This record gives sequence, structure tokens and C-alpha cells, in this order.
Amino acid sequence: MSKKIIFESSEGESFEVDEAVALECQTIKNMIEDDCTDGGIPLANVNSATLTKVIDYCKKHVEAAAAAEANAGDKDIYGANKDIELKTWDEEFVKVDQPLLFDLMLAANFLIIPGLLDLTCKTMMRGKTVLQIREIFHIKKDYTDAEEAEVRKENAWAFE
Amino acid sequence: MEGYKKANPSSRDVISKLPDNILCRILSFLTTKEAALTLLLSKRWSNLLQLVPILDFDDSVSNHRKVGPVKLVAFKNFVESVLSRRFNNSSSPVKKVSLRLSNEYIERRIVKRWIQQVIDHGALELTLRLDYNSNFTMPFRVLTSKALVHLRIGSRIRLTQPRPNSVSPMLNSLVLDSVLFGSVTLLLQSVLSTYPNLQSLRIHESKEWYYWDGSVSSQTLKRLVYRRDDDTSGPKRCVTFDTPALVYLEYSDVVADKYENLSLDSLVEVRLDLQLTADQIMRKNATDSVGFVPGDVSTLFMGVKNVKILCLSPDSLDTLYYRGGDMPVFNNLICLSLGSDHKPRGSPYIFWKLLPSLLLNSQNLQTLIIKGLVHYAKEGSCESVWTQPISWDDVSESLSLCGVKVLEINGYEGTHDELTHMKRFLRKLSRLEMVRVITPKGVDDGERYRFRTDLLHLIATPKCEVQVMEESV
Repeated sequence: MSKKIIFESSEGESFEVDEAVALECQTIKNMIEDDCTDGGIPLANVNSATLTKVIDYCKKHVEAAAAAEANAGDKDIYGANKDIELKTWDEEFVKVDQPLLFDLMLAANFLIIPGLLDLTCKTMMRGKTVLQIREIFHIKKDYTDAEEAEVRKENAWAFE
Repeated sequence: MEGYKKANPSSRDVISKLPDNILCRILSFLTTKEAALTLLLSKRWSNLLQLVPILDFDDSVSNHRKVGPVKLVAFKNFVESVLSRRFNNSSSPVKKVSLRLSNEYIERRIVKRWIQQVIDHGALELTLRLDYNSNFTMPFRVLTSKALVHLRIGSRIRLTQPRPNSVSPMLNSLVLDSVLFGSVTLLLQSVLSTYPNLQSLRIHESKEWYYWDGSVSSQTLKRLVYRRDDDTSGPKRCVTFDTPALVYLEYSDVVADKYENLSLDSLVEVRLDLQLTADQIMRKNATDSVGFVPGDVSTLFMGVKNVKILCLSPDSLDTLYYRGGDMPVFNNLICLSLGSDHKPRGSPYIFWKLLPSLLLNSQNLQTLIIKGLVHYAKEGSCESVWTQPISWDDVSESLSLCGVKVLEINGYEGTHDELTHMKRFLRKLSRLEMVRVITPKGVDDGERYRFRTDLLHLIATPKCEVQVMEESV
């Protein structure tokens, strides 16, 4: 039986995971090494919905790493296949609504899960126009017309 | 994490409150053109671009189709302005730069200056991709730096001779795509001495852009990929691989006249795409072959016989066949891949003729991959042209003697002929645990289900699993 780690979401809900899965988070890894995980780890800024997704991600990547290791001998043949499979899984994984994607990014940043942080950052703005970005993230323009004209002029090629 | 919970559907601008490093991470996954668009969002975003560690410029990317001098001036000014803002602010280093230019309008001295600036400011990774119609000559010293780790250059770039004293100690991987060296005396070896810790080297030569004389010597190289697209210039006189640390070799070329000094003790995986020229095939057994040197296939195969993974293209199978003589023994081989996903798939006759001896000489084989079985399985494709028929008994016997646990078939179309051969594989491979069949794109779930049912009927070993999946990518 592998050791279990208990996470507590911001709503106070408990999530039990294998230690190997928790170790995907650098922050938790440090806590485990310092032996301060008894009685659960409260994550006051990660809600249940986000935490469920984060745990899914870590589980999948632990499994994939284990499978890759088992096939280490023929890594370049099966490794390639597995990589594609995992990539496809990742792509599906981030097909979520914008608020959840945002929460996942923050959680990945806080828990230090580099793969998930890259994945969410990569998806955050890709393929969106400035207007869409402004709308989705509620970013208010604080330039004067003259200032905006200056920015446009300096980077004319990007705005053509 | 302040304000985190309110990130959800509220109408507050939460993203702008994130620290620079996260926002830069988001921007670093965009091209520099896309990232520059966020400058317009608000003042918060106005200085972020100069902190993003990754720059990616591509002059062919445009919202409009029209290409003209005006637009290219705009592109030039944009690059100049991004670079100068960046280099005036030394606190934010550039890690990775990609520069792709397809239009020759921008003065070459300016392009060279950009590259020089990027290198001088300690970039770790540089990708330079020029799609020019004429040569672009660049001093080699531009590409040497104490910091550079990954370098990728192409195509049609003419480099000058490296200086003996300029060394890039950190360079780990190098890709040379259709480059040429100004001086004929310059060989790959002098490039390698510029990069003393190189681990990965990929060379792609296309028509008229050759420079490898066939000799490579490195104590550090772990991965080597050599591909030559055009075979009109004939075989190399001599090829050497003095690469004791090499783990992975991908080698695609006309078989050389001679292989020497093959130091490949660490090699685990080799992928061979070897061609014989028509001359080499025709004159092999001819009596008038005075002065003719046949390709030295045997020495090469002896040099790689200890690998665990061997991939042979259809051309390599033909080459192995025409070479004659005994099949080398592959004592360590656990995975054998035959055929090709894309290219014309060679002679079915040769495939079935070689398969038994390949299997019998690979006692530890566990995985057999056949790419394009449908091509080798076509009925009648083996008999008509060739006088000596294939012995299917030999094929069956070699299958029943080998210990293959995993059989993978790529490009499976489920034809009657394929199924006939699958029957032989599944009945004779007594230790089979897994059959993985990969169908081309466009085969629907219903058909895949039928393929699977058909195959399940043929399984002789009860524990064997059958997977049918669609080709990915």
C-alpha cells in the first residue's frame, strides 16, 4: 500500500491521493520532505472543482511516466506513441471554460506543477484577438488616444 | 493569490493583477507579433513584451495577403524596436530566439546584426530559418558563443570557416539544414571542434547543399541524424562513425563504397534508409565490373549488429537483399521495424524473402513492427515477376520459432490479403501477447470494430490482446 496524502480544498472537502501523485507538485514535495503533511494539507486558495482537475492531471502524468519507464527499452518507438497520446490527453484536458482554466493556471503556479502551468499558460490567450482578450479578462483600456496611437505606431507591423 | 476566489465569473480584471512572471509565461507561448498585440490592452501590459524570454519573429506571418516593401519596412522596424527595447534593459535576458525570414528585401547586414545582437546578449537557443532564393553568407564566428545551448540553422546558408580558437562550450544540439561551407577544405570535423560538448547533431542535405565528407569523430555525440535527399552525386568513398558515445543513429544515404572505423559501442537504436544506385545493383554480379566498387553494406551492418532497436526502410531491405551473403546475427535486438509509412514500399518479394532470416537471427526479439503490410500482402505481387517462389513454409517456420510478444501493423486496411497474412502471424507466433493494429485516418469506428473481431477469430494464444487504433497525427 502506498502512502496517502490528504488535500483539503477551499470548501473544506478532503481529497485522498497517492503520495506519488502528490509528488508531482513541487510545493507538496517540499512539504513531504520536511515531514509536515500529517493531518492533511489545507489548500485555502484551490477550490474543489479545480483540485479535482489538478489531481486528474497529476495522476495521468504519473501513470504515463510509469508506462514510459516500463517500455524504456524501446523508448523511441513506443515513447513517441505515448508522447502523442499524452499530448492528445493534455489538449482535451484544457478544453474547459475560461474561469476554470484560469484557476488551474493559478493552482499550477501555487503548487508548482511546471507541466500544467505551461499547458494552461499556452492555452490562455492562443488564437484570441485583442478584443476577445479584453472581453474575456475584463481588461479596461487606460491609454489616452494619443498614447494608444504611439503604441500602434511603434509596433505598426503587429497591428497591420 | 489575493482576489483568487473572485476570479470566477465576476467582471473584475484579475489577470492584470498577476505577477509579471506568470504573464510573461503566457506571452512566451505566443509569437512576438501576437504578444505585441497585448501592448494595446492597458498600461499594465505595456512593458511586459520586453520581459518575455522568448522571441519569435516570422516575416511571412501577416493578417493581409499583400506583401510589399512598405510592409517589410514595418517588419524591420518592429524587430529593431523590440530588440533595442530589449537590449537596453539588461535585466531581462533573452533565452530563446527564432527568426524566420522569407523575403530578401531586408538588407543582409541588418539580419546579420540582429543575429549578432541576439548571440551577444547570451541567448541560449537560436533558430534561424531563411527561405531565400539566393545564398546568404554568414561568418561562422557569429554562431559561436559561451552561452548558446541549442542552434538550428537553415536553409541555404553559406557559412565561413570556423576559427580554431572560437569555441561554444555549452552547445548541446545542432541542426544544419541545407547549409554550405564557403571553403571546400572545411569538413564537419572542424564544426565539431567548435562545439566540443555537442550531444545531438542533425544534418539534412538537399540538392547541391552538401558538405559532409562522410567522416564523423566525436567523444560526446549521443544522437546523430544524417539525411541526404538527393542521390545524384553517387556514393561517398568512405564513411566513418568514430562515435563511441552514440546511442541513436538515423542514417539515410546511398551506401558508401567503404565503411571504416565504426566505433558504435553504445549504440541502442539505429534507423537505416540505405539506397543502392542502379549502377551498384546492376554491376554487382556482372563480369565487366572492372574498377567497380560495390557498396560496403556488410561492414555497416556488422558495425550496428549489437543494437536493441533496428528500423529498416524498404530501400534498406532491398540493399540488404542485393548485398547477398549471410544475414548478420542481431543478438541484442528486441525491437525490429520494417517498411515505411510514407515512401513507396519496396519489393514484397524481398520483404518475405528476408523476413525469415531476420527473425531467426534475432533470438531475443520481442516486438515486430511492420509498416504497410497491405503493400507486402497484395496477392500475386510476389509470384509473377520472380522466378524463384517464396517459401511460405520458411516464413511460417521462422515465425513459430521466434519469441515475438508484440506485433504491430501500421497502415492496416483490413483487406482479404492482409488478413491471410495476419492469420499466419497470429497462428504461428506462439508467444504473442499483444497485436496492435493501426489504421489510416478516415477508417471509422465500425470498421475498426470489424477489424478487431476478424483478428480475434484468428488468435491462437488465449491471452493475446488485440488493439485496433487510428493513426495519430
